[in-house]
Amino acid sequence: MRAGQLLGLGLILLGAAAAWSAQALEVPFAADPLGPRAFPTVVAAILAACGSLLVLNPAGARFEPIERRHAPPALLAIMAAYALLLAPAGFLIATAGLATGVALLFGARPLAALVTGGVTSVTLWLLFDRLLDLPLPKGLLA
Amino acid sequence: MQRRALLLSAAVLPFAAPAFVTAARAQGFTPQNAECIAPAAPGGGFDLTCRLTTRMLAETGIVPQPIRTQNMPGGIGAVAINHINAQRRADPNVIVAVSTGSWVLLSQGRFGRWSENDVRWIGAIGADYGVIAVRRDSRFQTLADLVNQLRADPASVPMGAGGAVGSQDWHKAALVARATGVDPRRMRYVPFEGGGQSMAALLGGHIQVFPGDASEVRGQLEAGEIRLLAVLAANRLPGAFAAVPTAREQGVEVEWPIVRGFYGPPQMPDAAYNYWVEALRRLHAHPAWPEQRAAQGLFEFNLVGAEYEALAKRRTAEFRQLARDVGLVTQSQ
Amino acid sequence: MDTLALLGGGFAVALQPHNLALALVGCVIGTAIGVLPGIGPLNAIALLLPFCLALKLPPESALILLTAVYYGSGYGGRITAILLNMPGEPSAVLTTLDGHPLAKQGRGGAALAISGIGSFVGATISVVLMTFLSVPLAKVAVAFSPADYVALIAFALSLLGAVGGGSAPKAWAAGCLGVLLALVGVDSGTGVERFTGGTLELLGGLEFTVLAIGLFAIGEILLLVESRLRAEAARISGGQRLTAGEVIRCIPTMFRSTAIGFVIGVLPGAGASVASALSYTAEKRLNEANGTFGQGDMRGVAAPETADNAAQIGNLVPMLSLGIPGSGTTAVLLGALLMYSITPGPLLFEQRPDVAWGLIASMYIGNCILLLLNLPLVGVFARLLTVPAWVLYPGVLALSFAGVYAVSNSAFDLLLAIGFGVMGWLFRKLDVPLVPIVLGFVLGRMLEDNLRRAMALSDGNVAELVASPVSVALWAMTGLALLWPSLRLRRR
Repeated sequence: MRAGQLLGLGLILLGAAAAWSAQALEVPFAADPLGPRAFPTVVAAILAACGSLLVLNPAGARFEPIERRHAPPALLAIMAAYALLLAPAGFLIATAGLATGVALLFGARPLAALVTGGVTSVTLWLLFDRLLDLPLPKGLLA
Repeated sequence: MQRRALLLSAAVLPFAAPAFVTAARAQGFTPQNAECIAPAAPGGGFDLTCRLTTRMLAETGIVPQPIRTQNMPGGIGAVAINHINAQRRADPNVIVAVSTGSWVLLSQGRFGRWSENDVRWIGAIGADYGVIAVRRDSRFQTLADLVNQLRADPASVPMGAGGAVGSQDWHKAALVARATGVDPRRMRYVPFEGGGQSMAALLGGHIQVFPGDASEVRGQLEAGEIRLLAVLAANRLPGAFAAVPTAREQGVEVEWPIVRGFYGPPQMPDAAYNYWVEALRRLHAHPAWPEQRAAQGLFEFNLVGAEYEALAKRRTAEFRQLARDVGLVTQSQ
Repeated sequence: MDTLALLGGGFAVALQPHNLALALVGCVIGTAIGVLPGIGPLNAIALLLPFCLALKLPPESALILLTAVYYGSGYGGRITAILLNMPGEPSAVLTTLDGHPLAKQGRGGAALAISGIGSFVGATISVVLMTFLSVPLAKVAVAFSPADYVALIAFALSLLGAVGGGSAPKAWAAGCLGVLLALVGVDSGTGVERFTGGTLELLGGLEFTVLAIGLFAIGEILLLVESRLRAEAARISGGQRLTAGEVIRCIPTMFRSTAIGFVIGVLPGAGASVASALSYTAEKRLNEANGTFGQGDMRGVAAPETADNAAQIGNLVPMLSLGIPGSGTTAVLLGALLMYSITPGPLLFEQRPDVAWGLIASMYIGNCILLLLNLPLVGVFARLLTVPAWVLYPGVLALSFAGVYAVSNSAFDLLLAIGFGVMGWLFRKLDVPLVPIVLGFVLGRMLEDNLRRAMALSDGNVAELVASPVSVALWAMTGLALLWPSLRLRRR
């Protein structure tokens, strides 16, 4: 099965799920003639129809092979860890970690990556927390 | 309600304010790095409540340290109450902005498993009031005209405001309908995106009635573009609104103050709770406050502490009843 | 004549040194805000308000500053859109379509310059229109009914096929996906929750910035990191400057886009995103014979940027002349007036001509400042791409995350953005266009809301949808746009 067909299949499933979810809505009373179900159902149907077309005719869709197989999962892991550790570890530490890790993935030397991480983290903290007065979590540094 | 608030504050203030100074200091609570959580992004209504009120608290010296505003949008307050209950149950240094709209959401079970008993109600800072606005050339001259038409055929009066069915804005229309014996489900209510678009729809003649808020209709009222059939307050409002009768004067028992205020975490220590209550009480007594409050589009509404808590719980219970009656709540709460 | 005298009075206010300085400060902040991915003009104005009060700025000065932030942001959003394929503002999404290919060809500087010129033209013509036609325009704008909005949005959607690139089913699927994403949250017609899965965080719907950062910034970075690292800087620097011929070729586009942008901006229920989408797709259709839209056509950059700024100014028309805010940002600007005990409304021009006309005059000045500020800086911005990838992308990613988190304090939003990032990455690899997702997201909600409003007002009578001349005309144009490709084929 080709990538385009897989995509089409995914879209059909998504459309079906959305339509089912819309139809399952419990509406307390009809405030307007159309209600909350009609519009999403129609849109979901169009989505599924487009998916079907792609399954039948997946022309032109091919999945470029990934050259560095380790990089996307590593980046995703770094980002997910950042999202989860931001509050407990604090903005400065978490952001320094994020930027250092991403710099390494983009081929920085370890020392350069550390410097990038540190400078990015402190600059952004000054920008948001100090200049814009939007408090960021202190975490371990509290 | 407003009269009660005024009476209360008048009765309590003279001896409460000096008592506070000793009481709070004796119990030894001074806020450290206090935060005001605004359950909205910068620019939302709660955001201004936090930013302007805390600025005033610091400027007047009522609270010695500046209070920082932290934005926590999501579920119009649901995420904030969740955060408070999950992570800061006893934090003495955090207050959260809240309004009548939040009570409506609480009553409909939209704040997850949290109820009005899961926070400590600190106090109000002021209130805006619901109004019933029509265009200047409307066929409705008085609230009675509108009521009669609603009774005859509720679907013949298209109304619109800035909130969803079941929201704060919708309640104004629903309560007027219900007070006159009309089933709110039969109204023709059209939700718009914000008060501005509702006003545009009213001026454009797409809707006939706009149950809005006093502060947002004032410019149009002064220019004579719209008429107000009623203000949903216990007493007439001052200034430009003085000529507008209350709904109650016209025999319709509906009041709709949009009370803005603060709550604290459920296990906030008493010393801290009393500190914040007294801080608001002193704010209400401060000579510079009326002007600052008006700048937020709010009228005087001075309920704090136990009275505010009682109001919050009573209103939430009323809204819960209405939601059940109308069938807004499908699951059992 | 009267208007000119009043405008003269306005200039007397706006040209006072401190007001000039504030306009400059506002323009700089606005441009910066436009570049920051998570923070929009609405947030920035709210954050600046307490400062205005603390500094005891008089009302006209405060409004000059805050409004400069507002229209200045329209100049900033394009910078990252063109250079990095990451739009900083919703209305800059269309700018990526031709702006980024230009940057890849080494003409990032030229694209930045033409977008700056377009922004200036759009904004300045709109301010002139606003000066003389504000009140009658605003009166016409409120007459635009929900049914008319339905027709307008349908017209915009009918042009969507134009932004798809290759495969039509993919473009439509992407658009539908965007529409469905926009419907997440509490339904305003009935109060029921749709597609939230019972999650509190999703009750209020998805944030545009979370979606855009995920699809564009994170998706792009995932794509970059998976391929073998190459020296990117080489192909970027040194491009050819913008030529006079290119500017002249863009002039008709700029005029048309100004008209579209301004008219749509004046409507309280539409906005800059609709305007930039419509003007881009319209230009693409008009220039099919001699255009290279999608591969780096200057007009494809000029159109959305001109319309964006024209719409921003147009949005101020109902706000100033009627006191009606058409968007969250203009609502906060009105709130600022209220804080100075000035009642926004139809009487503003009579009661406080100094504030109203001072503000309008300052917009003439502010847009000149922005042009003068932006053109010389084009080279500096373009050099952003000579920064090594291992400094640039960690910085961009951290900036995006920090922007989202600072205004939401929500790890959930970050995870959501990462999820959309994976989606954006896979879609890029599968040649699914991303722009229709964003347009579907912006337009879909508007379409459903207005359709249901129209149906509620007409009690389900579908004929009401074509009751006004405006809607009939728009539906006719929609039909034409949909049939256009087959008509053209037949002619050949």
